[in-house]
Amino acid sequence: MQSREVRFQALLMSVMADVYRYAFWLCRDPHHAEELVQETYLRAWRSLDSLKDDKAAKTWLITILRREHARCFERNRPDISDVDPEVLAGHGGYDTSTEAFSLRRALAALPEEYAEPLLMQVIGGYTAEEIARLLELSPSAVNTRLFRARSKLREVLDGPDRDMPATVQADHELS
Amino acid sequence: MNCLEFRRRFTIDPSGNGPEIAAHRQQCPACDRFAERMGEFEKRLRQAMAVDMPEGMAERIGRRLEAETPKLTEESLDRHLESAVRVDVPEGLAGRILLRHSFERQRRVRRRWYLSAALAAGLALAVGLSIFWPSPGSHGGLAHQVVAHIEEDTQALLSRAQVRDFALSATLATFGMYLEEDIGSVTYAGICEVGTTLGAHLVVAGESGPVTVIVLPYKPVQRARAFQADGYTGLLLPAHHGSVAVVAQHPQAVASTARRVSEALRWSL
Repeated sequence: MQSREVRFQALLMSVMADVYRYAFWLCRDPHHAEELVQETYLRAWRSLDSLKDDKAAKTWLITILRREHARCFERNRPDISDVDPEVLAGHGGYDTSTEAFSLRRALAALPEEYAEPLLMQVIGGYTAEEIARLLELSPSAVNTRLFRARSKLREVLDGPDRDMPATVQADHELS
Repeated sequence: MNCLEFRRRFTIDPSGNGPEIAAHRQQCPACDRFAERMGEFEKRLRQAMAVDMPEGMAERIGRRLEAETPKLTEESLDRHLESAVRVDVPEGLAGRILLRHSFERQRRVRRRWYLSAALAAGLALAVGLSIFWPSPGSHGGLAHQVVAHIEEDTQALLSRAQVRDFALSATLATFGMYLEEDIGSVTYAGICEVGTTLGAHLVVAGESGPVTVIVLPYKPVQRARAFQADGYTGLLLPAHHGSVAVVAQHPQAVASTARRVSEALRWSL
């Protein structure tokens, strides 16, 4: 039988990088992101027994993190205009291309209502139905937000979306 | 599925697939190219999101979790020690170690055997290594910190009076440790700080001079290493969740004290 420590290490410590990324893009501040991740892991450790499905470890952590974010930072959310793109760039060891920099800046400027479903899907691995349940939205509203988020970000790289007929875009504007 | 629906669904979830999506891609070269572009965009989006964790964050979280953990269980101790024995043990070494322990004693104190075996295995490795490779190696930073601390804390080496058992026990108990057997005449026992980590600093009177033993319960090392620095010879050994440094000016004194410490040191769990 696995000990608690082994289970924790195997399931949760291995996804810390993704959890940090989620936190970073959620609060857009590296220091707050680390605090959030630290609190998340402490809470996860205390309530590890409530994680029933090992495969859902990352989504479980992100659920805790979102709750923690709402609790700690809702009243003191940093203004997007205060985010320094240099800070964002300085925190990536990754892709340093101009394109990646533009994309990160666009991501940082994305309104949270669009950014969060995208983070939940891309980093968290949630399905649209799960996102809808967690954000208390209808599935079609989640789809609209995902559509708009990607369309906005693609515009940064490719200009106005020529792949998508205007009618589809208009549909999503109305949803 | 028509092109509009295909592109809408692909923009919402580029990882989405299914028979309808696959069928449309096969039928429609334009949508197939669109899907390829979306795949490329998604890759770039993931790369852009991939910010690195701040340096040391995992360790900071580990320390906070450790502080939350009241005690290790016997089960986790066994696991830890079993894995310690398995790691980096040369073929045949376990058998040679076993010869040093009666089977009866092993059955009686199973936990203790693992601990001794882990330390002894580390010791044997380090002594072996020291013949061929007496360098600080990958834990050179820690070795140098230990030596620097010994040189700074000159009072410890100069002390000649034997430390009372009570004072020695109190020093070790600070970190949940105790000695099950005598390790010789201890002439200094105190809490120290090596680099940024706390430890128990002992000096044992050896036949060829004082031997410093520094137990660093929160500073793990992956494997046993022998080192030489500034006229000192030392061993760094993995022990429990941390490490033990045994340092002296005479290599033989290091080996014999390390062996005695490895036999005697226990963690109360």
